[in-house]
Amino acid sequence: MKLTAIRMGLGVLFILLIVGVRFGPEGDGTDDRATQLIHELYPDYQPWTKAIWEPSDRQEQVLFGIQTLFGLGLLVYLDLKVRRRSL
Amino acid sequence: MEGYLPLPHALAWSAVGLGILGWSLRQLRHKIQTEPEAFMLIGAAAGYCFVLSSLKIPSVLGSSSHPTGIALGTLLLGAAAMVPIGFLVLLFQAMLLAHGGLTTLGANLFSLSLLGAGAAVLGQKTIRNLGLACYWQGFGAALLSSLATYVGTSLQLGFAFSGGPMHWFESSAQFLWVYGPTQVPLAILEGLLTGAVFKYMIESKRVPERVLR
Repeated sequence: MKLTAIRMGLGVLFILLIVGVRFGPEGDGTDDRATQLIHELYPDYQPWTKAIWEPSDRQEQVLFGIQTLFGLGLLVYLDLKVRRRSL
Repeated sequence: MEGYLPLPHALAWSAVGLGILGWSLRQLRHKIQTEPEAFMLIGAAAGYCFVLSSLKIPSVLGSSSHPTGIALGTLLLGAAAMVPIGFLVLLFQAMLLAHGGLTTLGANLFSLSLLGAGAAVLGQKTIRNLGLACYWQGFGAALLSSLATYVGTSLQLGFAFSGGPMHWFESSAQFLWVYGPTQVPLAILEGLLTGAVFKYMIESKRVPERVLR
């Protein structure tokens, strides 16, 4: 009984977190700030290669979404599987 | 960050990363052979890591970053299990999302899966020795591992971009100042969530006795 409550609580927490992130405000990433700092410290530095492919903002959201759903699916699947076994 | 780690550094860290990966796979194979529930735990560790590292969370000062999700799996399986999982996440984000990068993968694997997981073990042990319950053990592990990962990244970048007038620690501190304000609140958030999931897994008897000792 108590565990069911915790399980539901966790589920709600995950969903709130994910929804909050997807539709929340978006800042620039810390990695972008780090590269800015590199250029400030060493104005002569040229990156010696660049990413083969860079997704658009929309594509990025979708790809991150796929990663989230895959992970979440794995967690839910395993949880249900273990629960069925222990019943 | 592709191309931002100078070539000699990128090569050296790639070699280190490859070494860690080989070591971890051997450890993991042993674990799977000796522990029947290992597969289940690896799945849970991977799932949690995938979810958390896919969340790009805005933090104070208007910049955003990712939680690492490394701590839970470390608590369940030990550091070795998190290296292949971290590798998969880093590879996915480097190839398809242009986050991180193939040339920085070795360096990232080191800070994420080795420093991050090591700090998680240390965090849990410290909290347990203080006599606090499993929720706080999960909290401490995740908090410390998330912070250690970004301290590691800062030291690596600082090491690569020092020289001339600037000392290693001096430049590292500057990178730390870039990551820190964003990462500290995220680490606390990750700690709170990881503690809850860890407690749930223990109370619902989803983990072997070994984890509790």
